[in-house]
Amino acid sequence: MKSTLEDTTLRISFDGDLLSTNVHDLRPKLFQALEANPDATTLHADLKNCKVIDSMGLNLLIALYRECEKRKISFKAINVSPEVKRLFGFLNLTSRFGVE
Amino acid sequence: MSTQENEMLALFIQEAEEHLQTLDNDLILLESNPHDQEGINRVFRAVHSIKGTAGFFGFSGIVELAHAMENVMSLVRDGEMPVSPELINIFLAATDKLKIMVHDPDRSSEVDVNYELSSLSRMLSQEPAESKASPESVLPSYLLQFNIDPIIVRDGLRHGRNFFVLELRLHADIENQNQTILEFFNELDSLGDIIATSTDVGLEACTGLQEEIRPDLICSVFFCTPMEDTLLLGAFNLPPSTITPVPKEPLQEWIRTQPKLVPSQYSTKHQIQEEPTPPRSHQVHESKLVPVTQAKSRDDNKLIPTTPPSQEITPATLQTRPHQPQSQDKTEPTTNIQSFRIKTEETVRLNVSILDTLMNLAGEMVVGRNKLVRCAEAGLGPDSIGELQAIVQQISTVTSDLQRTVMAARLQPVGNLFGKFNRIVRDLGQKLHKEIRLEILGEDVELDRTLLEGLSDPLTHLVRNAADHGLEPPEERRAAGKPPVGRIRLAAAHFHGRVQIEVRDDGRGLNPQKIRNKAVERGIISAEAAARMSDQEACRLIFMPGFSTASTVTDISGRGVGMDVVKTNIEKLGGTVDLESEPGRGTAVIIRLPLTLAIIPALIVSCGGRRFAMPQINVEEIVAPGPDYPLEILGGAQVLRLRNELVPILDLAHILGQKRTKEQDQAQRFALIIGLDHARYGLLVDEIDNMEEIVVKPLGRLLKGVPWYSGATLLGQGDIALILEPAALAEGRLPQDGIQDVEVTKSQSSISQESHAQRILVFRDGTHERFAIPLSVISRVERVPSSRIERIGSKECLRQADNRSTLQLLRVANYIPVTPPPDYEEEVYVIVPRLVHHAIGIMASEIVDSADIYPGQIDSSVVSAPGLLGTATVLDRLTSVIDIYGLLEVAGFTQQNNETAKLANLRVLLAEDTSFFREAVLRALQHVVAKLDLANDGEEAWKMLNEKEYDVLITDIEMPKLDGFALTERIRSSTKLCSLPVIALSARDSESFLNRAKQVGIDHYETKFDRDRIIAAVLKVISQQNE
Repeated sequence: MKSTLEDTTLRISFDGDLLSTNVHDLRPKLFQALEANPDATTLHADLKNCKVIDSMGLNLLIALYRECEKRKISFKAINVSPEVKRLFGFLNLTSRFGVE
Repeated sequence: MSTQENEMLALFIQEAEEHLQTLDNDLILLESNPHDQEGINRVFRAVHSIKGTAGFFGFSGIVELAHAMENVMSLVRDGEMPVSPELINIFLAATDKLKIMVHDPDRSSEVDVNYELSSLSRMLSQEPAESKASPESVLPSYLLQFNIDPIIVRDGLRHGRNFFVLELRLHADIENQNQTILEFFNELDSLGDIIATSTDVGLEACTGLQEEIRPDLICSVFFCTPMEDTLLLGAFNLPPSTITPVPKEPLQEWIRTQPKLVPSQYSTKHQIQEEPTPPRSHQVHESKLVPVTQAKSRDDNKLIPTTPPSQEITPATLQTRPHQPQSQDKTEPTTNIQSFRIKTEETVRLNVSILDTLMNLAGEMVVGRNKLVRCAEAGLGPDSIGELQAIVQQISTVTSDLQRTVMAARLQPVGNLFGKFNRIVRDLGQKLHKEIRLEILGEDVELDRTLLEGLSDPLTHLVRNAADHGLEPPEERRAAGKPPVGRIRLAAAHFHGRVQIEVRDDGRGLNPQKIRNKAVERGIISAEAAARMSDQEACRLIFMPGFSTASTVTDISGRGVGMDVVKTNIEKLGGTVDLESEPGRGTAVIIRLPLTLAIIPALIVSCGGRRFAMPQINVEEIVAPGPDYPLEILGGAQVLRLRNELVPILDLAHILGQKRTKEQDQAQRFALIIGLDHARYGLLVDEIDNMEEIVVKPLGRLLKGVPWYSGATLLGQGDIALILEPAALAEGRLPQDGIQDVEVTKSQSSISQESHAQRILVFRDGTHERFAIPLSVISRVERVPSSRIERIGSKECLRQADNRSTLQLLRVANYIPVTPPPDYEEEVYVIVPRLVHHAIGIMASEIVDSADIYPGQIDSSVVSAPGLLGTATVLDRLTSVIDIYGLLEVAGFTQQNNETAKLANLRVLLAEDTSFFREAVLRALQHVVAKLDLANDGEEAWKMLNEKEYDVLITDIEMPKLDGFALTERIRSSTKLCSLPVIALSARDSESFLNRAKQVGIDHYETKFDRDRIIAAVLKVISQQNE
């Protein structure tokens, strides 16, 4: 996972799929990234390398979204693959995650 | 205005037009999915952008209208106002006005927008939440979490579907079943309609990243399906606790409280439901639902063309009838609209990478030119040739790359054109009070932009025709057992190196008989020609100039000048038009176009000292007529015998009216075998020069009216060649039914001269084996798409175009010992026999040819089986000659009708020495009469007549021992037999024979092997005897 700040946009790029096997490692890293960038007003979750998300992965994204809400940070999933976009669509998460 | 300001203004117009086109499509989509938040946002952004840029130029009229639209959409975006049909109508009307204003922004303030402004203002003044709460209160509380699309619910109720709420634990209920969440939802979606979903994002349970990630995630799904709950649970192995059936009553009540659902729910909702995709209420649909134009504009890697806007916008009509959608207006496009179009055609956006490539190639061309100049300055030396060759090679490569890149830049997705039909179909649906669903397929298929532009008008006409004449009103559809929503499908696909565009409706289809009658009535064809035509050929008559079957001419279509103009326009684009129609099931117009018009490969030929270019795509092969490929005259027409086929021949010199010298006529000429969609012919030319890629240039004014040229080109040597239009050359010069007609003509004309021979139709049925059926027993041969063949149990049937009768189809291999055929390809031939009580047809994969067969040629020793007369060598191949009546007998059909029933008690003696005719007559009559005995010669017949009682004698004339004349003389002079009816069957039809027959007392003289005539003759002689 990589995080970069441009102006006030914090971009968090995931290295691969979001699965039950890695979400527990990712959660504290995500939290740290947000803590380290208090000036961020927007968070872009870059899902370019993510083709599969399981229920735990979805919960991680929801937790990240909720964390952003708490911090008044606008959340947006970017570079979403068609499969993941379709999954978000089925779960009514597309607009919540700001997917275009 | 300065140049820079002019450029800025042009940019404003271009961008605003793109926004408006997008707006049209987004509004249509919103109408069917009013909760699509992204759609609402797009509409808001489009209006906002137009307002902003118009304000920059000070176009206050545009700003005022866009601002009013923005205010309303702002409320919608914030959830304070629903997307209602009224809102969509007002926004569409306002969009039309904006189009007019943007087209001529300097005069935009002159456009009357009072209706739109007051409507928008009225919407703003309404109590926003007035009617919002109450409708929902009728729903069960567990449904309130969903954002429900009433259209899906309404449709589900109409179809009697079951409604459920599934509460799913994504991990425990899905992933634990070794299924991914996406797989589960894809499958669920294929079993019904996912109306809405609600995922628990844990407003209480999950507060952020400080907590442990939840082990599971709950998603509620509101779903409707034809399945029962137990089946549904079983399909996914779900526990019963996950499902809650939803009673239909509250849903019906809720539907009644919804704003009136507009009639034209043609939208893509249904098409999406038919596909395994998520429900449209979900965001994932956005990618599918976004009109192509918009989808492309968001894709940086694609070309972004300017799509011509809808055509029939006129300030006058919109001012007088502001609420009428634009495409309904009768008014023809005005000059304004023409210039509007021209403006959009003037520019095209290109991907920067294409421009970069062009720039690089231009740079390489400059390098090549510099090398050439240097070479020329140095003068020709010993090394010059090699150096020149290298330069030419480089320039040649660069030129090819340049050509490819420019051609690619000209290609645009057909979706750019198809997109505009969302609005047109929506407006047509409202105007015609029909429910129409538009399906768009293959929008990514690319075509040259010139072709796309040329296609716009014909397609519009075809879509209007489909909506107006093709699709029935909802009540008529219901009565016919069809869904009330009519479907128009616009589809594009690649087809054998061309692009095929299809406009298909599922409406009432064309009535071929009505078309035949009309064509005869208008003198377009003769009654005989009409009777000969197959139903499909009759349907194609609608492309004839001035033809219209519409009993009432409407303002939408049916002016009687449309389809021929469509055909002409498509042919001008180098394309072809075909038509398929089935009464009660719909009509499809199929257009096939070349990918590009600008540069095409062509065959350069000469005729009468002039050079012509024939598009290579139409040339199947080139043949030098001579002993191997002889030119013959059949039925007054020149034909080329090409292997086992006869190809009609046209002479280019003759068509062009060239004067020919004797030398020219005597020289070896060449036939280009031209393949068109529905015709194939050979075009005689003097010389074949070479194959070239030619640059197509439009014809000058003087030649524009000459139909057989589609353009002109400059050849490599600097000569000008006219480009031939193969369809126009053939127009009116080929037999109506193609080559088969020539064959039939020959068969008909040759019967009297060669009546000792039988004309047979040779065909194949999927294998190499050939079969033959005498033409005299064939009523007609139809070519039908194999998709039209329907199965009822083990039987294959073909519904006739009149929809009243059905042909039962027989495969020869099912009844006689021959190789079984593989499945038929796209098309199949159906041979319909004559004088058959049952409606049957024999299937064939290919009609090979027709030929003559002589008595004695058929050998029954090689293969002997019921349904087969035997084998014969026909057209150099062993061919099984089918006994059609025997075949029907084997297939379980008895041959009786009212007339033949009169013969049921008859005892007949047949005197015939030739086995072929004896067998044939025997098989034809044996099930019609009570008794049929055979005598091999006259003597035997005489003996049998004296031993047994017979009601009729059928006799050959030329027989050994005692001929037919002598036999009859004996009968007439016998006291016992003198009144016996005698029928002579003979190939000899000279006057002397006929006179002799009369003299000896033969009652009827008949040519052999015409079953119905034999039966008619028997009926005649027995009725004469009874009188």
